[in-house]
Amino acid sequence: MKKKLIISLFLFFLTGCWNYQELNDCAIVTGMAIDFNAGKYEVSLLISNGSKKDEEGSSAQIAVSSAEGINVYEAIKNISLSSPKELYISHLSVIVISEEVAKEGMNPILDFLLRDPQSHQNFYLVLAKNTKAKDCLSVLAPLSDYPSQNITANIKITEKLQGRITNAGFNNFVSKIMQKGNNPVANSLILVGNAKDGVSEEEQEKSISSAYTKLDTLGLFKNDKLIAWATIDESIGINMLLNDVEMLYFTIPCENSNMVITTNKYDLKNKVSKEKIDVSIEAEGMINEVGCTINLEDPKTISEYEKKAQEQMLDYTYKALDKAKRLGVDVFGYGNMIYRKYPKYFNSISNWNNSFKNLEVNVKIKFNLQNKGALEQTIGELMK
Amino acid sequence: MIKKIKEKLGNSSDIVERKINNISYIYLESVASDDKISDFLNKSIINITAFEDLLDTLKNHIYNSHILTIDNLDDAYYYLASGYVLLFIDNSKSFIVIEAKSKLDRGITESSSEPLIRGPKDSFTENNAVNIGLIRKRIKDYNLWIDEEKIGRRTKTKVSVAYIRDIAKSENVTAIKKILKKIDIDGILDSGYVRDYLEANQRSSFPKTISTERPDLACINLLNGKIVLLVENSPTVLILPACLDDFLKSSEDYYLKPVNSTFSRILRYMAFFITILTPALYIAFMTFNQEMIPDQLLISLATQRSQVPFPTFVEVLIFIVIFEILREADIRSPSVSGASMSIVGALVLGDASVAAGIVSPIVIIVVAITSICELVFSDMDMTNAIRQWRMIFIFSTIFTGIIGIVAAGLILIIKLASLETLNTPYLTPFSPININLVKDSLILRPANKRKKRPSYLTDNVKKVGDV
Repeated sequence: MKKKLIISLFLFFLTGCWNYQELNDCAIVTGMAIDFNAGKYEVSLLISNGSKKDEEGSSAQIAVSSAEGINVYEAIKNISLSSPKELYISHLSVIVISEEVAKEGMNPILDFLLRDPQSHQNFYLVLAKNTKAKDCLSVLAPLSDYPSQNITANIKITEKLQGRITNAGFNNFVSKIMQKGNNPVANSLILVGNAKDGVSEEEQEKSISSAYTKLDTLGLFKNDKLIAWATIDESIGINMLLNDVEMLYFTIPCENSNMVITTNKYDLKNKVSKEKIDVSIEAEGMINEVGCTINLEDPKTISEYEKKAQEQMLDYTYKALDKAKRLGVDVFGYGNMIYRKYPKYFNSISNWNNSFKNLEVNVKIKFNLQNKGALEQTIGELMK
Repeated sequence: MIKKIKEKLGNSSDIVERKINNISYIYLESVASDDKISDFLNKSIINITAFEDLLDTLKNHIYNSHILTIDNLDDAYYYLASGYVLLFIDNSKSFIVIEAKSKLDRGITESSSEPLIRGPKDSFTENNAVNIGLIRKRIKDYNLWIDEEKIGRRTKTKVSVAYIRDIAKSENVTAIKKILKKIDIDGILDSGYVRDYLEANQRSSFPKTISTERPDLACINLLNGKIVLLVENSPTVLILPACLDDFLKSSEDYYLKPVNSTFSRILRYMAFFITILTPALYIAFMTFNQEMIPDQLLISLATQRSQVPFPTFVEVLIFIVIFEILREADIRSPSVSGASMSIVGALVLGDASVAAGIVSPIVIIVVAITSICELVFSDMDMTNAIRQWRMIFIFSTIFTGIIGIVAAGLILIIKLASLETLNTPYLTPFSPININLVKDSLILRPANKRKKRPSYLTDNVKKVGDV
């Protein structure tokens, strides 16, 4: 018995600390940016645990290291040539992809990210519009400790507060590429100011940043290739039809001025048949700002503006549908809905994106103005 | 005869003898009370005038309730050492022993190792009679039976088995008595000796008998059908059978509002797992499964760790060992040096070691959480078992990470589930599950709802109604 016990104890030692990795030896990568540079991939990694000493012990300092390679893996290995720590990408929270790379096709990158056992695929994917992806990743943000956190938090919060930002998770993106009759969309980032101004430490101490990143409109993909950018209206329309809206604000004209309406309840139902899709949207909203003098206590006025809001929302959706049909990319996943309901019919179609151009999509919107905010009447009306 | 006894005792210096007329007596002044002897023995002997049938006359005239006539000289030594006076009459083979013990104990004091806020404050002492008295005082039922056994070739220590006859299972009582009878040992100085014999058939680091200083806890358990062992000269009584659940209970639970007691019991269960698992989980998260820590925490941990030259597990082990030594020193050291101990512990170990870059602050937090949760348990054997298992968890984690924790957890559960005392599974009432008993384990129901005694301890389950 004792012999067995001792032998089984030594079995533990045979494992040789399987998978053992000290945190000290890890370079924690929280952001990745992929650019094209002279036909090669230029991969930049945001490493968040470079440490520095100050009076209160130590605090995190970020470092962006980049290298080139003919594929993503080689580029990352080239980075590790200059790194004293092992690159650890399990905590990747955002990946920024430049326009050129996205236009060339995302498949090699997606394959790497899905295949790597360390990658946990729970990060955000954004496109860098009109700028280098590396610059978006290296601009220091005044409100967050490191840029990747800034971008993810920005997307997470804004997605709820504004209709134009889509659910940008990597998993969501990949599953849309892999689905039949579906195409993904992705958020984009633009850089305001000069990237060189944004990378220094002093920048963070200023109250007005001279360089920062900002979320912009959606990019439309055909399979894995970026083919066009949507406008703001089209982005809102796409998100509305994707049922990816929590709060949506829009401006409608009223008399000589305008008023702002926000939806706070949004419900979308698709009725799928072979030739057409019936979309019915039910939304509730509130008034946020009124610039004109109207009587808000009159139910007639309310229903008049409800109608105007419906028209505005309808306009967004038709703009989005027009764009998608013109380009022949079904970013709404209608093909997938038809495939799920009529698989045989769908398989008989050779090129879904072409037949999508002829798909009839009817949108019906029912909008309810539930709430006028804290002020029941307009100021102009009260002054009378 | 007296000469013979004195010779046998090696003419020890504490022997006192005296002869009045043809009556002589002998006692040991170290254990017998001179006052008592002068008071009732001398006075009564002097008053005796009839010398026929002296033995009976003496027995009838001495003002003492503890009088025995014996004729075996071997017994005489036991009585002599217990503080009795041996009374001889010339030309008589048998002799009389009379109790005249002097008080050699510290009296009933407040319990220092198991303090309560609400509840009786008295605790057991080294005096066997007092201990039994403390129980009798609480349970005035004629069914409270106390059997006695003298164990130890040289110490001849009284071991009393107390139980309530119609509640406790008789087979448990006989089993315990059987074990006690078999004990062959030089001396028993504490109940810990007896416990070793009771647990001998299954070795385990987890205690299988409850040790307590509190008479009220002993009585609660007696009323449930458990058996209490009182060992002379030991203020700690043993209660058995015990299961894991018993170590997570306190007698105070029954005195406070049941809802609040339930809360503290749940806390104790949490503390049990926290104190065993925390260091192992920390090592696993830091060296194998970093992906389980949220980004920001991970980065903060990484910067804290970056100053430390040792691997994580070395860091943890260093600090745990230092803490254990500190605790051991704290228990052994006289209370006057307690203050310097806490300064060394708090300042030098806590603050300076971080500044010196030997450990990272998070390790201090981990060890602090671990040791605070360990202090929840008052039973020393329990804390030692927890300590041992914590080390097993840590070592299996060092090699295989989370998988090691799962493996060690499995072994712990198997080990606990296979333990039993007096045919009671150690994990009662959770495994095998007994809903009725759970009412008085993790959850405590109010006293008026606890109408049944635990069925694993007694066949006489009903508390109220027909007896």
